[in-house]
Amino acid sequence: MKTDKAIFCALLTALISASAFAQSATVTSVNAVGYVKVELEKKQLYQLTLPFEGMGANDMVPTNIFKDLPNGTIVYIWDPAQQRYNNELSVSKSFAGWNPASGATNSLAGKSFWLRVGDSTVTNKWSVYFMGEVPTASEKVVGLATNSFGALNFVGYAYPCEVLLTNMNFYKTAVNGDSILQYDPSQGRYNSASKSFAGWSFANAWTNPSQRVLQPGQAFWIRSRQQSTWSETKPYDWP
Amino acid sequence: MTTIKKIGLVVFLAIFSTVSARAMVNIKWWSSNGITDMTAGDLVMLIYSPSNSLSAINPSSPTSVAAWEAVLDSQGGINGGFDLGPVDFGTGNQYEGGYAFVRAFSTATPTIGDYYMESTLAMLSSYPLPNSMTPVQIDLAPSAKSFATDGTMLVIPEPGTLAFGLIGLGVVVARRFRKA
Repeated sequence: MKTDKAIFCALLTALISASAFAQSATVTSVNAVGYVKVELEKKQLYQLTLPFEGMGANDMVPTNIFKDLPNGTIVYIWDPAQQRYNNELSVSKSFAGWNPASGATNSLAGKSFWLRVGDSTVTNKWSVYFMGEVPTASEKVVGLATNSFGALNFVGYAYPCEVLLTNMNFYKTAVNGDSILQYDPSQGRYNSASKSFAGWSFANAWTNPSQRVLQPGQAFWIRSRQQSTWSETKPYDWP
Repeated sequence: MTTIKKIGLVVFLAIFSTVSARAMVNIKWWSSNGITDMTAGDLVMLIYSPSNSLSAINPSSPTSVAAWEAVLDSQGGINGGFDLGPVDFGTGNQYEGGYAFVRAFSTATPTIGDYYMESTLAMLSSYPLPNSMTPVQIDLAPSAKSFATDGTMLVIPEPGTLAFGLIGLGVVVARRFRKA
């Protein structure tokens, strides 16, 4: 997956959806709109996250975001509480449309999910844009499921910026048994970081410190034993 | 080659390539909090089982596994534990829906009198995605362990225990034949 780095932090091509009153010149709200460009290939699986907030009810539903993807496309939603995939919210596109309806109308804003791109005899690659309001909260807190063996959580960095794996708070405060895994669709395998009695160990591309960068729009697994929340502070000044 | 045969071949290749690309299992096997008295080179085995039941270890041949099981990997530990994987296993869908567990020994070549520890069984599939999409973890030490306090010694079963074992085996065999 290639993400357009120009976006996020910088390209917060900020549209000031401003309600500036002509006479008083008082700004009642300032919203920055950003986007993440995700490049997809047919029959591939991607871990994706949508680090924006919704501008409208139908803006960030699968039927809107992935409308151009071919039949056979599936969005899988992980249920951390049940530690299994949520069959009601996972949604697929076929000749008959998107099913089930509960998943097709489920907003993906702020959520992370698997995307399996369907097969196509015509097109091999697609560019998909995640668009929305850039988060303004100075801190974002993600709830994590935990258990003694390390519960699986399917998450993403809450802000539309790239982040160094080792700078994430979860990494800094991890306990033995915690791990972070990111699927690399180009290699068909996971890059991972695991903390044990021997310290952190890395696998595949993440053995190279320069590769430990999480791009905007990329999701990953967090396996947590004790941390029931993962908080991050906003890495940009505006908005 | 007739057209039908060509179509059949294409369909077969398409199905085969899809299955082989998606069916690996991804396993992280480790002792996250360490096994204090494990030393470098101590044997650690990752074992596949098609059923949700652990087979009893054979004290006389502790590194062998039951006929229905398969050794996915054997590695040496490090001082204080082991930290292996994640590694992808399989080339087809042979592990789909199965289980795996870890058996660790207090020596590189275990015999009677040595210690071993086993993990619980980990399910290798998390419906509906293929196995490799949902990473599997087998942690033999979610809290610090040692062979001396948490391990089991390899001993030759007493005759009474052996008899019970044989009776159990007889029951299993009898039930198998009755089903057939």
